[in-house]
Amino acid sequence: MPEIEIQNLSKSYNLKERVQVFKNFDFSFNEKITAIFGPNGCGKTTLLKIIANLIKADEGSVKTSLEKIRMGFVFQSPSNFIFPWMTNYENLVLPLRLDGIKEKQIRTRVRELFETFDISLPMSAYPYQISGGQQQLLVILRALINKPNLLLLDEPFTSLDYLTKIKVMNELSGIVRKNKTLTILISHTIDEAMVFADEVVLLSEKPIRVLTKFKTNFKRYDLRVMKSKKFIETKGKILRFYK
Amino acid sequence: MRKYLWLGPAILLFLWSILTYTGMIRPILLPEPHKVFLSLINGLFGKGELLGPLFKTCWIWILSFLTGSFIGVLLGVLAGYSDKVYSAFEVIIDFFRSLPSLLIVPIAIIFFGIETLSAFIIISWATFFYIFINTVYGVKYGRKNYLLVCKVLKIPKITQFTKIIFPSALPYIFAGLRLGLSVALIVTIGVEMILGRAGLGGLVFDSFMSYDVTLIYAIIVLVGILGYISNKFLMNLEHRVIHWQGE
Repeated sequence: MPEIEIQNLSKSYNLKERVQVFKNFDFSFNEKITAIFGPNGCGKTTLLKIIANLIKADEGSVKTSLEKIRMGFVFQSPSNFIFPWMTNYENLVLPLRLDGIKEKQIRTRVRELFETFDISLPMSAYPYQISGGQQQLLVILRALINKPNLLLLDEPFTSLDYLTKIKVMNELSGIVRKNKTLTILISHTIDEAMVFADEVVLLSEKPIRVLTKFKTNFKRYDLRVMKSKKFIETKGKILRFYK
Repeated sequence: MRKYLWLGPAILLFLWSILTYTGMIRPILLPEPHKVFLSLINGLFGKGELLGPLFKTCWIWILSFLTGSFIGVLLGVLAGYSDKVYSAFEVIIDFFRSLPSLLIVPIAIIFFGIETLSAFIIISWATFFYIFINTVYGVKYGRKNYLLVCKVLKIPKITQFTKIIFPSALPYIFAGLRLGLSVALIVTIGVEMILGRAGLGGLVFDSFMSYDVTLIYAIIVLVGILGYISNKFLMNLEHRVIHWQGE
């Protein structure tokens, strides 16, 4: 069975006029890490929210190979999804506290996470006292802290500075590969999608259909990979679909 | 910018002085500032004829405000949380909130007489709607994105409510409380004037009947100070409780 199987999905919104986002859409996520690449407003976030069961489809079904889902979700605009009345620490460890984990183990897990990513955040401060990039880091770490088996990332690296982005992306890629976490990444940067995922899926305008999908095997975001002939050729092939 | 705080009151006092000390307005209409302030000081610290009414006004004002706030937050949370409850009561809420609270004075008198209970019910009623409506909106609209996180993290309903929904509604609730506190003071004075209750409103009415204009102005200043202090107190509390607001 595929990792995630979407069958006959239909979803429309009633805005000023009826907007059909999906119409009898079928797709199978066969790889552990998939990146979704497509035009603005085509419905990528809607797809992620339907997979996460945050919104209901009008018709169709989403099945996964996972028996018990432990989900991590990094939403777009992270500042809207962290709780400003909680400290950064309270925000970060919320999933673990909800699972009833003891405080000592929580602290160990936080230390591990910071060591893995080689970063630090002011834990006793509040979210509004840190930068947008740090807020994004906080949200990424919160999504990872309870070791999810399904990780959904909606443009998770947009607010990060270039160096932090490379570092976080490489570490995140390493973690999800090591833990065999089923991961779906939405990205507007094709380089990001190619180095992070095992498969890149190109989507069309609404109503969504799959234009094509490519297997990739780059795994790391560094200059050597990105200057390689194979990388440049694959990128060229992918981008041709939007011409 | 706080250094300019004195400027507004200074201009007001200056204009007041010009109008009265030059005789442009007769003292029977607007007494000189020093007479009003002397009357105020004398009423509070001299003869003390303002102390009793001040206490009575503050007591009924605060008690009614707290009662109206408590019920407003409680029912507001229920109506905001459940779309069914909200839609069931939407028409009634919109009907009653449009009614000026002083309109229910005759009804309150018919039911409870010219007693403290009538004043208490009218003021609580006036306060209730401001806080209720704000709480409903806070609970209903302050939580949209946060609920997505709750769904992802599978946060139990009670924890959702105490840790997420209620804190996210606090900025709206505080806006309602500040509005409600001012409205409660206005209605308190109005009700005391109508019911002839022995508070500051009643005293204003008595002073009007005996042409003691200076005392009327002294009470106006006193009520203004009361409103200013209470609003500052609530603003301070708001900054402490919802420290993230406006950041």
